[in-house]
Amino acid sequence: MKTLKILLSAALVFGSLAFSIDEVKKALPSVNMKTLDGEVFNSSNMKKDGKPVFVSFWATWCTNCIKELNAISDYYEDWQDETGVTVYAISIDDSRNVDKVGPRVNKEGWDYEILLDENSDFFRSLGGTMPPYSFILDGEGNIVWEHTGYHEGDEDIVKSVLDKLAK
Amino acid sequence: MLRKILFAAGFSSFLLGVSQDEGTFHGSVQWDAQQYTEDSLIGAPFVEENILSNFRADLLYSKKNFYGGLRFESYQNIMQGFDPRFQGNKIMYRYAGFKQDGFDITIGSFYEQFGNGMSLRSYYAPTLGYDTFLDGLRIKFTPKEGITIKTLIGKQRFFMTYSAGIVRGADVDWSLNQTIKSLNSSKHKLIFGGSAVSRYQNDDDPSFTLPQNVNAYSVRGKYSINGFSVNSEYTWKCQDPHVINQFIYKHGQSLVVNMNYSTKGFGAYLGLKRADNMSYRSDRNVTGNAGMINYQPVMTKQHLYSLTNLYPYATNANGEYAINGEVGYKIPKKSKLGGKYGTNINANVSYVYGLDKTFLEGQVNSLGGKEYTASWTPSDSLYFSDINFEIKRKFNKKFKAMFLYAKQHYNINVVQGKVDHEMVVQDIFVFETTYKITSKNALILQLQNLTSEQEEGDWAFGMLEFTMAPNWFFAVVDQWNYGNSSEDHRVHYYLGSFGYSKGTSRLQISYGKQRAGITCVGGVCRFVPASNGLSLSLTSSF
Repeated sequence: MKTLKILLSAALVFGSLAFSIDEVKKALPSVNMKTLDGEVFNSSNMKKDGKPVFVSFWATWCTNCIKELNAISDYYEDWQDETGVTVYAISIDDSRNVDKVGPRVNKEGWDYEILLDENSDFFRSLGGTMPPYSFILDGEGNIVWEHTGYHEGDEDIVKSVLDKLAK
Repeated sequence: MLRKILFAAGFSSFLLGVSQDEGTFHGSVQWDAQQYTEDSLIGAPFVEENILSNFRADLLYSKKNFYGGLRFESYQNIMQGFDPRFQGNKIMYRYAGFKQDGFDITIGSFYEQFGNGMSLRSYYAPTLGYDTFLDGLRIKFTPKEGITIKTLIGKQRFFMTYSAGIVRGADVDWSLNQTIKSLNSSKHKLIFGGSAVSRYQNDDDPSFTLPQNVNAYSVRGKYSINGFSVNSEYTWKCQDPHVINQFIYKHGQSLVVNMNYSTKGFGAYLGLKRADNMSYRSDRNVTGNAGMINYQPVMTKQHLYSLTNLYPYATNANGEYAINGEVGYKIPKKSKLGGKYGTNINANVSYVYGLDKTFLEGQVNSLGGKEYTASWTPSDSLYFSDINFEIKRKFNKKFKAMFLYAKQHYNINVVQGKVDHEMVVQDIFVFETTYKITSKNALILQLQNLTSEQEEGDWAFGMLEFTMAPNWFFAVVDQWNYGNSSEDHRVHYYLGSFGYSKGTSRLQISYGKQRAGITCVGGVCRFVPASNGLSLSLTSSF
């Protein structure tokens, strides 16, 4: 009986969602993160007027995340010229590894904007389940594409979304 | 129970009401289930239910200054390797809050971290069965940009109920550069912070006089300039007799110093830690992965491959001395040595020693807990060491490879509480290569070998993975204990899996054997028992 009641209430909640989900626009939650220097940075500042933004959650212990960011790094300059994109690489490393983030970025040779989401507050606010989790913002700051995981070649799909937005 | 249903009903009608207006929903589901087949050779037990399942669904809503959310959890019954006290269906985590006039007020459940987490961190790692949210009230106040003041009070989650103690705390974080105008554009960046945390728990122990309020204080600072940074935190905790320190009255303290320097193509890191008696829990009688108020970072490299992770280190709760250094360089693109895309090399060294303790004569309690003093130099008792070297290179558009060597020492008596076992010494080689057949299809081959004289002896590992971007992957794995001293136990752990992903959804199905061992994600570890069978994992978010 207890189980039934809980299931019922959960169904109620998710049922009400199903009604409303198509009607809502996907905006970016406003959550504070930190820069590599330790300064506060709010997620809403990632928006670039009129230009697309690619955001990837990664961690120093996540091989597929690093593969994804390396794959994009090879083309980043071309992408910037062609689509005006800015890439934010948001580390969810905790205090075990957070001081290795700066060195890691430079060792890989990335030119991305780097942010720290040390207790995964921003990651969680987007419903993130596991890294790599990435999304694309349009010029108005709305989330228009999302993806979890990385396979070789996924970067071509990211590029095609950015191309559409740049038109 | 009625209250919860009313809450859920109220919440959903609220959602219905507001959904006419603009607002943002995010949510996620994660479902893991496994069918178990008994296999006495690898130690996989008979599971009465045959199938076990862990499920959770998160729902988050935000609109302008308001936010709220909840999580439904279902363990029917909890999978092997997790604490069986996670049981049944429940909405434990639910919260609402708003942001206004520099205040951010959360009621209900929340995750929080003060500084580096050494005085307080409530954290969530569902795949490890780790969830230490606090339930109560949290207020964040930003009087001006660059200053954040947090204060909170709450009961901590303890499986499907709450922990015995009450946790209170406050924290200040101050960025000098963001608050002082003349420093806005300075190259020197300075951040200071401090926190105070307190736990109240009633003393009902008949034989000890226990402190009911246990306080911890911490100060921290971070300085950075031109690619160099130093980040340090010192934490002090007053008398806190608990089951893990065998009810001794010694105070606890820990100091962590992390330094790094990096510039394009080069990065170096050095970390030092001394922790003494810093286990801090919301219930003094609790052990295992529950009720932790603070976090004690592990100062070793977090490895990414199966055999480098056979014996991962976990922080010793009663004290340790650790040093970790790393240096890496990218041999530039289009150079003779670096090749067309450059070559990355990286070396990492870590050592963890015990504290040098002097036990005080006659100060032994009825549980065997001995009071002591500890010097600021380490003892010669090695808990763990790891020396590793890694090189990776992209040869051309189609082909890249990685090679890693690691030598590890693992004191199994200290880390796993075994008695009279030899120090585990192991040499590990890992080779991984990726070949891109077409722009969307790739083959990944991973070969690993581990040699060791101790415990289960030598291991080999092979994996072949075929990926078809953006949707499919197929993989076969064989982990082989070829050097086990008992011939019967020279077992092949075969595992086949495939996965389908689209957007933020991902389904993975695997069939095969899993070795008993410890898995660690994000700095938290748990024991995974041996298993044999079919498993399913589904995640999706919106």
